Amino acid sequence: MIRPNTDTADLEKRSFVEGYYRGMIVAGRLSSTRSSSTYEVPDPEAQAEVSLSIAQPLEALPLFPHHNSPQLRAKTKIVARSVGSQVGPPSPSYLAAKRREQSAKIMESVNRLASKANDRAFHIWTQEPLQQIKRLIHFLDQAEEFTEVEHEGNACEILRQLRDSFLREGWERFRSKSVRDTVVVLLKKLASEDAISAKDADHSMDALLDAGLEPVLTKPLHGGRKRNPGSKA
Amino acid sequence: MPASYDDHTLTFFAADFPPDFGDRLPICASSLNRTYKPDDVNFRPGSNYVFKWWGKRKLLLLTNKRLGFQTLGLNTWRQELETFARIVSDGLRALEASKLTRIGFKVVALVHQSMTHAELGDLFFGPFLAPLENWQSLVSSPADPLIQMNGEHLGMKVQLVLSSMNPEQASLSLHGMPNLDAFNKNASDTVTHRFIEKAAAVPSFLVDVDLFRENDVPIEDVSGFLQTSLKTAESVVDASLARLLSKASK
Repeated sequence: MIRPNTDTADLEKRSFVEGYYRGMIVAGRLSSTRSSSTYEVPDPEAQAEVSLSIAQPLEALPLFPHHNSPQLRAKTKIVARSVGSQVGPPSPSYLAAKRREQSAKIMESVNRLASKANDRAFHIWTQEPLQQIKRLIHFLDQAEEFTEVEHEGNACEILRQLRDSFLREGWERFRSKSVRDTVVVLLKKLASEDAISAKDADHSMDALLDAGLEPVLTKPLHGGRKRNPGSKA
Repeated sequence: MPASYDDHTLTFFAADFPPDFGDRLPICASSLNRTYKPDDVNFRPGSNYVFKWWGKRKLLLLTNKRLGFQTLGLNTWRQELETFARIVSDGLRALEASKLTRIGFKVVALVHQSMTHAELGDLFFGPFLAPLENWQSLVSSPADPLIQMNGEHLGMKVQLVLSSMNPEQASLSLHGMPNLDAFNKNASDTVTHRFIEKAAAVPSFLVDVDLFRENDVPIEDVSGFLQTSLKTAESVVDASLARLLSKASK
């Protein structure tokens, strides 16, 4: 949250001292705040590097006691992920609507797996829901990165459980109707509820474990096998 | 249960009949005045009567080819549906109208949402319109969509308009609605001003649904139409909102 009545220079100094630095352009001027606070960017598509001047003598800052330069230049990356001309973090109700919309699509993809359950190349068909889940996690994660409260945090937790359930040999389990049904029930909740609670996330974990899935990867993704030197992570 | 948008809604009802060039109009006006005792009646140029009931936020409009109602808020319609039906029935009888050329009920609902105008616009892509990326060859950065759809729904013709509105757009749009000044008792009354100020306070989802039947509508159908059109209009608003928010429709 931008604090409009707070002195900008004071904020800059404080943020340096605390070691959490974020720079932002707010309505054409520079200000900064702690990373745990939310952000405000006038141009939603803006992604720029800016130079920031600190007005205070740097000797005053405990981080730079011996620095003689009257000015510090810091490069800051500004990234905005808002909608249209919106300024500020996305509204919880907007994110919930997007989560419901995308979860319904994932649910359809999981339902479509039924017709491919006996296909030899079944793993290829599981890529569609897996990619959709990853995209939705990425969208929700990014949207709430700088907000003080993560309204979609529990929804993301369930989505991560679903994503991990597909990984390693998990996709093979999706040939089974009962497994797909379990996942569809969880997705139906994500596609219909206003808010997802921590209890829902716990319940989801139990349901996926009961279905024989691995909602949290407890072993290395590649079974602990040694990789070929030079292979990508 | 009243919907959240009840108080941010305008309603219009109109029963159109073949123009009356005789003496039936003042007889009808006089009869309605005696029976329903409005607080005030305006006679406007062009033989327009406007019957007003202070505090009830409803108007009865009578011209030589139309008998209509206008209300601020949807609750007035719900609560007084039977009275409205009686007034229409009595009025048309006094006018000796045997058939209607058109009968229509229109609801303009501004459904408040706790999100920004841009977010509301963005939600149109997917539930109502093709995904955003499909538009980029036509409009590189689409925003502020407006949808108009004409068709039929449950035996009535329908014109549905959906849009996202910021407070300025909502205020301008409401100020452009007819007869709003007539809801004020006098020049210093602020009924209309307060209604618009409240309705246009935050970004909203506009659902403008016009349900109507045309050509030789029997007078006996009026009461049924009033009942059906109110329920249908409410269900269209609810379904539109549910679709926008990707919620399962009731």
